[in-house]
Amino acid sequence: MTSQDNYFTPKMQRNTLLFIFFPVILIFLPISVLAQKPPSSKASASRFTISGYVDDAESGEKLIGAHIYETGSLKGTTTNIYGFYSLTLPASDSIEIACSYIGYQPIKKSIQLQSNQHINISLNSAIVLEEVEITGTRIEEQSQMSVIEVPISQIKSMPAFLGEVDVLKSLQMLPGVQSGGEGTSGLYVRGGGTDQNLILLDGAPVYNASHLFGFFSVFNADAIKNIQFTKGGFPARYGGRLSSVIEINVKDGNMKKFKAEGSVGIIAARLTVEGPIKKEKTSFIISGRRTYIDILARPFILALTEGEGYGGYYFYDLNAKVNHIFSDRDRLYLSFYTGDDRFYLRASNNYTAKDGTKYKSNNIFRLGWGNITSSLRWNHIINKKLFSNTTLTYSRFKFYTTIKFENIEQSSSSDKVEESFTLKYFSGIRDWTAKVDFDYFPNPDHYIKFGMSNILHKFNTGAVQFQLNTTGASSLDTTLGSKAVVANELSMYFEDDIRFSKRLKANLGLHTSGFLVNDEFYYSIQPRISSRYYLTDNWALKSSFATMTQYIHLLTNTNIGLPTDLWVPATDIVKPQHSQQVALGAARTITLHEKKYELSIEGYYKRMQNIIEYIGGANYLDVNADWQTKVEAGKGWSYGAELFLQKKTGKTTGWFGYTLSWTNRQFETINSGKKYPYKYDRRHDVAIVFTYKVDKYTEFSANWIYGTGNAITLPIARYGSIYGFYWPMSFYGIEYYGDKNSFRMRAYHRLDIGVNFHKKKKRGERTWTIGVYNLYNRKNPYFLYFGKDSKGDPVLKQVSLFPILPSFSYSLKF
Amino acid sequence: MKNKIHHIAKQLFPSISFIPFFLFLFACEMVVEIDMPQYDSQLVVNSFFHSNNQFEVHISNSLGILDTGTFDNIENATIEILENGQVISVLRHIRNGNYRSLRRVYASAGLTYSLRVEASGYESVSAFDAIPVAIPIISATLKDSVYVGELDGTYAETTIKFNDPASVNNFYVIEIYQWSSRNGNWYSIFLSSIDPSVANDQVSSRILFSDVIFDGKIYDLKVYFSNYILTQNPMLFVRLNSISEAYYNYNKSFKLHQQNMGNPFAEPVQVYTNIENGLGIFAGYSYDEVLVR
Repeated sequence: MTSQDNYFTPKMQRNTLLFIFFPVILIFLPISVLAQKPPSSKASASRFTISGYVDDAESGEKLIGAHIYETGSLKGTTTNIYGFYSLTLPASDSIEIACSYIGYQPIKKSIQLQSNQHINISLNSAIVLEEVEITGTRIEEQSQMSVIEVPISQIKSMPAFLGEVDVLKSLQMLPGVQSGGEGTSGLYVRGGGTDQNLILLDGAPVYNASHLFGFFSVFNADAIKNIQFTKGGFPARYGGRLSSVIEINVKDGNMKKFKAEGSVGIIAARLTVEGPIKKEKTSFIISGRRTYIDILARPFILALTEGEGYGGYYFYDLNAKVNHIFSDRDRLYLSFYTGDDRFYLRASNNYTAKDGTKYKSNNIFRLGWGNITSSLRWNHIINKKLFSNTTLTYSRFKFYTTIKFENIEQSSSSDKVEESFTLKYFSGIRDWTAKVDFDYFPNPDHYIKFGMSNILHKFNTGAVQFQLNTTGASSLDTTLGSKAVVANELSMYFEDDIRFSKRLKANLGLHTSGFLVNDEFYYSIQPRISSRYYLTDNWALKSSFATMTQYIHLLTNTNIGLPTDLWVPATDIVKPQHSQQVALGAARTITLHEKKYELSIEGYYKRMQNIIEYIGGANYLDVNADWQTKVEAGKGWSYGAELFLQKKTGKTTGWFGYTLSWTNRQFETINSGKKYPYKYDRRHDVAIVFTYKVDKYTEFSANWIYGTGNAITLPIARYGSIYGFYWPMSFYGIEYYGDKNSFRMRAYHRLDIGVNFHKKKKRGERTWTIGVYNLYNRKNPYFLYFGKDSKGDPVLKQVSLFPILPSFSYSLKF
Repeated sequence: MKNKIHHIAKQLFPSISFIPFFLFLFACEMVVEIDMPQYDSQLVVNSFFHSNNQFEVHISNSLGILDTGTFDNIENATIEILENGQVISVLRHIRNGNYRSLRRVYASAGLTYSLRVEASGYESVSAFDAIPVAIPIISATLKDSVYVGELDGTYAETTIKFNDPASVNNFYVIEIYQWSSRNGNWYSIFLSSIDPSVANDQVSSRILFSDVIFDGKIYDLKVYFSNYILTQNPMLFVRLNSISEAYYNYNKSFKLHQQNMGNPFAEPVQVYTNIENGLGIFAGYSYDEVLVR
């Protein structure tokens, strides 16, 4: 018996106590801060607070991460994700406040600071062609490291695969991030798996962010305001995943006037409409996208099948958001997203026999998956220094398949006989989340964030339903498979971004969480620290340490992200995943010919425990079997160095990224217990992203990426099995693989280009976009297999997916 | 209809992973050069040996994956069987790479045997494995026409009762044989099971399982076969094989290997081998059998 068992027995009592104990702690902390009086006492009388929102002057969109500072002392703060800031400064008859944000013209304002003031700031966007370098907070100023913000305008001007702008694919070009196979939008961050990324859409988790087996991501760039990508040095407010956090914020909707934009491309069309419902008070945005190949192809398929069958595939996304300003202190946002992929196939047949009996059959096949997320957020300014946000979210991912056979037999001599058989398979996950977050700005040297959240997960790990109905016979309706599992995940955090001196700044925090599933309770205390230290006026040394815990796993036994992959909870057998990551780096802003470039260099070491793999190719689709007995927990390591040089504004924008990394895995029974390279272990990874605005009508862009080939397992020999005693040996032959992932595919590289031609029309602006994917037609490997050449000799063959692919789209904005 | 349901359920879902193939509209194929490591052909040993029987071993060779030849039966090997480090038999070549021990040399349950194989042009190989003691069948009962919801149909059901020893990992194979008076021979019947301990481990007509979920208990395991067989009124006997862990691992991995082979999106599965410096299997088993009809 362990010492822990001595303290807490019986087990259930311990778990219940812990679960009650947690919220009590969580509630105490905010209360202790809220109880602080506003700065009206004598001691604080000589300091006053300026607070308010920063927004875009034209649309009223709140700006995230705008820098507000006092020009004399340079003490300042940044706006939070709702555009709110609070800055407490000594009283003065005249101080100058400046506000800057990337891509916007900075403004300065002189004020008399003799009382607390609420000042909302509106910024005008900059004219990029003038090559005025306008930036927000400098990279070296931030205490946090391993965070990258990619302006959405940059993403939209990058060359896009088949003309579809893809947010996640643009993130794949950042250092430390690897893509999976050709064309897919999966993210493998610093050696982690695709399940280890927390993707938040307006605060709601998205569990499957891909369409068409990963070839496109679910995020419609027209609706997105801001993306923040964190791959290490996680602040305490983040939790629940090991490898990255991708925060995607949808536009709030124009508060001042109606705007619309739409486009038609090779595979999809999209439309976005936004505007005020009540000027300066309530606004909305609605944005949709749908592919239409199925609609165009349907008449041809019907003609070919003489009307007896049709089928197709499409996906769609719909984002909608409404927000309302009740007062300077209260604001409400309601955000909704739904998106689905659907395959469908229907074939019918009519036949009349010689005796006059009519036969009719219908065969229907449907396959689909999709997400729904919705979030309700309430911003409340409790006092000038304390901002709160309360969020309720719902998120659902569902995968389903339906196969239906219907047969009808009608003869003149007997009654009609109908027989139908339906088979349905479904799996998925649902989350209900309630959370409250506080931002506290006591003075310019501290920026405190704290909060708590509770997530109720419901896992459906796969079930099959059979239905059989026959005229005159008993019907059958049976459902097989695992029952839904409900789990509760509770977390709290506290972090303080502290400026110790002009040189030293640190973000110290603690994230704690608990997970209750069936009779099992897990908890985790995760310290987080990141810091920056100015070595010189320009060079900042940065370091971070973060531990992370993930209570959910993704079961997958394929090398591509399929919607059939199952989300499952940690259980008493399969423990939660943990990671520890340490990083050290340097950052500076380089000025070269009056142009500014952000440079960061980072080295990291990450280790992971309790990551899972299927044991020896086990199959998750056997609904009779318990998935827990089919997986094995193991360890993973990743370490490497990353270089990132980015130019965010001006005529020329883009970045250069390089990653040198090693990633390994080790499981007790896989590869005879020996350590082996992870499939996406990529020694060298290079990305160059370049956009050049030739003039106000023309914009040219290009991407070039290079990556070491994926690690794969190939057979090195073959031999006869014991079942081949009596031949045929070929049928019972065995392939012998040698060490796991000991071979490498050929290196992956590709150049894409695109040109945007803008033109002002009477009403708005039209843009023609022409792009070429894989310009020099590189045959990149998708998979390898042993086949035969023309002489019948065995050879290794490579299948490549996408050759050179041109694309175009037409868009209109008014 | 029941067969249709099962056929679809089993076939449909794995096939989903092949759906991206429709994207190969754009795909192209090319032969690529890859540095294959130098592979020296190895001896392949295949032998399941059981108590109260002579040792039988098949010896062949392995080939490099790009080798165009066929497997050779090795007919000039020297094969020794050892018990407690002492050679108890040198096997004789019978035909086509099959070797057999002398009639007076029998394997015994509960003992560990080693194997040494030498053949000109190959590295010598060795292996060892034990024959588990046979677990007796307490009873085996037969029922006609039992409806099995999970298999959505009516089957002949056989319940095999046995006492699993505690604190030892035990592995089993169940087989049922029917007598064919026409051919004058016993034939193995194709079996199914929904028992959780069996899960997905079934190989060919037999049921392979371990005692993970019933260690140390008296257990009733149900297996099903076609009712049609009973209409022929044949003699039937049940065999409960107590197999070694190596036997179990080989069969289990073999099935998964066959399942994933050729699917570029699935992780390949290495077939278990216990042959030192070589490939294949040398595994022991014993059995108990009872007549059920």
